[in-house]
Amino acid sequence: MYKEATLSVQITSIVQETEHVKKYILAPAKGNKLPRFSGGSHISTYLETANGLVVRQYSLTSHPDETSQYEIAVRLSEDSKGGSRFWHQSMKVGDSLHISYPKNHFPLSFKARHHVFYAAGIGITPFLSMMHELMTKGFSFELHYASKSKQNCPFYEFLTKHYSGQCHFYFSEENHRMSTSSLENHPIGTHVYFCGPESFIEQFLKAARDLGYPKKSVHQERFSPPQLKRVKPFKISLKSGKEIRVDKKQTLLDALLQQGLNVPYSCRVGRCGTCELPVSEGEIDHYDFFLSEDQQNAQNCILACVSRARSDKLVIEIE
Amino acid sequence: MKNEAVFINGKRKYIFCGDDQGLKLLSSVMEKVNEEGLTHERFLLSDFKMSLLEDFLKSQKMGTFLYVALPSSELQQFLKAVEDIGFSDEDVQYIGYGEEKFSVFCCRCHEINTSNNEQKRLYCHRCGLELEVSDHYSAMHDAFLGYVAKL
Repeated sequence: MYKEATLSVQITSIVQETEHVKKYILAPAKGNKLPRFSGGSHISTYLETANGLVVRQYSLTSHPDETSQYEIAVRLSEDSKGGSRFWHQSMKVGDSLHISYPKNHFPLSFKARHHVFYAAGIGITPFLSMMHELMTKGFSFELHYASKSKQNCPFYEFLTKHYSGQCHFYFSEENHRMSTSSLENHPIGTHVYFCGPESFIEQFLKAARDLGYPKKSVHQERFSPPQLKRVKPFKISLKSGKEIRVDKKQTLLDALLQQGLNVPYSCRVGRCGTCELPVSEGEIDHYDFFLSEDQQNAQNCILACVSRARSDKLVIEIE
Repeated sequence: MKNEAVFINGKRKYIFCGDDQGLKLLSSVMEKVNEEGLTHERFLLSDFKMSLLEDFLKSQKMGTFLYVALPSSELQQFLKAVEDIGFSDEDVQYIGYGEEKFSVFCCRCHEINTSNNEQKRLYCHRCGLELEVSDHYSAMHDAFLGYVAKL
């Protein structure tokens, strides 16, 4: 039924964290333990709605050592395609659902001397488990967190209670906005982590790049696929000789799945590498955050969830 | 480790560090940085300044790029100190000169042997096996794997 192995859990508590954010506690439906995870991990939730199965990913916000229950936080999206609305309007305490095993596409760097988290809004979620982990291990870190106001700031009370010395808050309604200037002051050996809306991540990535931060010291987690600058339809040819057209509005992954091809995938935002496919001909337009520069330049593989063809046709080495 | 320094664009600050001979090897990059009006500092290294240099490097901010040019035999210990301070392999270029000594891991008895640039074969000083130096490098042992030279 599901694309991957799942765990069965039950909602044991729902807390209205802010006007738009609810916190859910998920306990194992069978047995009394869930797998341990690492800071920055997320799960996929499988929601059985009237319109079919809806799969959504959420960061685990609880302590990585906590295996009796998981915690996630869901922001009700203004342009919800069904996932966050279903969570907010239909899910009740006592409801059961399936979740994936925890996965981590946004791990902490074990080489960092100091970790700095930059979060905007619900972008705080992956940092909560990361901060738990760093605190437990005695590592140095700080958080820069932008929100509209104290009232609209998810986990504000939790953060001030547990990490008051490490947190810097920026509330736009108080005319206190977060700027990229703090990137200038981080000591050598710092790793920075960005999570929030696309424009926020882009702004901070650019500032870090302009200052000369090395690529490996900069980490990011996106909620949505990158905004593509140029999108055109293209054709692909498979080993079997079959040709498939990928139109402007769909991804290569969607086109392949629509044709009934069993292509593995997971994050759908170009982050995890699960949907990597070998390419033998054609020019690829890479939009992923997974392949290295050298791998992208080699032009011999594509992440089907976000990347496209620059040429009119790609030859993909799958049956 | 390289024999020649290469200018890396886009850094907020450049630090050049080496002995007399080493700084000469960095001169082309230093000229380029000067020409472009980029922020930089130069540190002439001698033994008694090592702790001073470490303090200086610890005070640097992200976006700083470091060039270190020293005799190859001295670079290894320097590399460890710089890495401990927090410079990643993307933040530093190490330029070695003179005879380069490196370690070779014996595939039979796991002893670490010392070799140099010219020596492609050597006898393990513990078990006597003739080893051929491979390009298979272990960061954990800081040594190249020595295969059996003759079966």
